Amino acid sequence: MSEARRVRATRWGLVLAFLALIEIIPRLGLVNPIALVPLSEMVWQLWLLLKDGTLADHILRTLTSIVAAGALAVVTGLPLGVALWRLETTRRILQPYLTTYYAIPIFAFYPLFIAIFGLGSMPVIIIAWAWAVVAIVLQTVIGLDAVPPVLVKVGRSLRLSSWRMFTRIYFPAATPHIFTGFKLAASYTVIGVIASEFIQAEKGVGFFVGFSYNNFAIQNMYAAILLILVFAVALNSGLLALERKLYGRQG
Amino acid sequence: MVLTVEHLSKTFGDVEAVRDVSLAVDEGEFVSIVGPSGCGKSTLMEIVGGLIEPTAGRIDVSGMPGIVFQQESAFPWRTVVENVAFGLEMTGVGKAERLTRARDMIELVGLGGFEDRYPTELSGGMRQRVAIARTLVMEPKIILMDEPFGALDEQTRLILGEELSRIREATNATVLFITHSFDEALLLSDRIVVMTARPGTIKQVVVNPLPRPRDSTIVSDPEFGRLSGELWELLREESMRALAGERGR
Ligand SMILES: Nc1ncnc2c1ncn2[C@@H]1O[C@H](COP(=O)(O)OP(=O)(O)OP(=O)(O)O)[C@@H](O)[C@H]1O
Ligand SMILES: [Mg+2]
Repeated sequence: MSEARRVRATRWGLVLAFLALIEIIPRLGLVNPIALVPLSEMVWQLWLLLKDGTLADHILRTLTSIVAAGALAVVTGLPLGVALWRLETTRRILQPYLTTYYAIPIFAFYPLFIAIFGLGSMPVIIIAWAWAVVAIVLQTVIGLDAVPPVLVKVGRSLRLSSWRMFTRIYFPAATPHIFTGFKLAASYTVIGVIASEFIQAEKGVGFFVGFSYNNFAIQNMYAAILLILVFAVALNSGLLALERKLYGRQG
Repeated sequence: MVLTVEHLSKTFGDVEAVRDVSLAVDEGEFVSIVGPSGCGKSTLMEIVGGLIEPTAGRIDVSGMPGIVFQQESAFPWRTVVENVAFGLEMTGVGKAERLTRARDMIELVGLGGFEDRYPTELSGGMRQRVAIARTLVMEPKIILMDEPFGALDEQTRLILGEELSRIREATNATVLFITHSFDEALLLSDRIVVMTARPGTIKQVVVNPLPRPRDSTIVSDPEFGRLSGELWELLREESMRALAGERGR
């Protein structure tokens, strides 16, 4: 077996071992049955919840918030990133704030947003957007900064307009970095939505986890957590596959 | 004259890169520039290409020069054919025509069959040929080439030099060619400009008496060896000065 295959096999092995442990530990009575339920029961419970429609509303709400916050992060993050890249001085002023941004526990401001926007999707979307957008801004600036000067010279030697310099040289050269920003933003959006729903909301999968926990519905709670995990992993794998397809041959 | 440079100087801050360079290049001529590292060759070329403003002096170039840069410059997000067609696309040549012209040029630089590959899927020398094809396809009156084969081994660069000679004969382009290799300069050029250490000025212009057409077998000609020795004689002192200058800084 080649080195790469051994690594891959071991990696999957770890996942399977972990899943097996979750199944076995509660069955052997090694933990309190209200702390952890076996994996098979989680799966079964999730199936029941999906079938009887209990989760439908929550899933719809969560997905809507994720899509809204993610889309908002892209359409605001990209232009902000480009503007910041162009505006040397503004950027020098904002630099320290941007680099320490992710040190701020932004969820601490969640009550404030609820107070302003009321207890609906709005504060959730705002938090998730705020958590995700800066990743796109930063990656856009980094990507545009990293464009090799010689590629810019090629454009200038052809006397391209500034619009074409941007659309035909800077932007395509920066897209691999910007895509990294999108990937980060996708994860941050999911975290932002689920976490704020969990803290305080009237609907959503995150809310459902918290609600079940508070009402000792431990099987429901684990079923919802499982759903979130599967969704997050699927989203990430999807984006990775897309990245490979788009940029895999560009090195 | 396709290119006239008069009393050109360029200073970056307190670094004087080029000092009082004058040069005239005739249509169809192949002129090489050799000189120690850091003497201002790339700077001179970028001024001629209109990418840098000179501090003093005058340049007169006919048409828009095509440039092949010292660094690798193929666009990684475009396939070979898309790279080569880039300039044509930007100047509004229709799709069918630019693809045909790009394909012909790819064939000419020996990259036939690699049209749909991305640059990372090619070797360094092949990537450099993509950049050369992208410039040649524009049919510029004057082509500026800054050590286009610099990253390659001596054998490959002589073979590519041969190809370049052939292409130039077919297109009758004027070429200003920067190189570190005397063999390359003697194989390709009509005249060889030897520059001094920084600030770069013209030390001497050597007219290449070797008969055309030449191919890479010429390196074993005794006359070739003599000329190579002459160039080295001219450049040795400058290269030592350049090194001493760098240490002194
Ligand atoms: N944009 C710039 N800003 C400041 N200094 C520069 C700039 N470009 C070049 N220089 C300086 O000008 C001098 C000449 O540089 P140049 O790149 O023209 O040399 P070169 O002859 O092409 O060298 P090489 O053979 O190593 O490519 C160097 O001392 C370099 O540091
Ligand atoms: Mg140079």
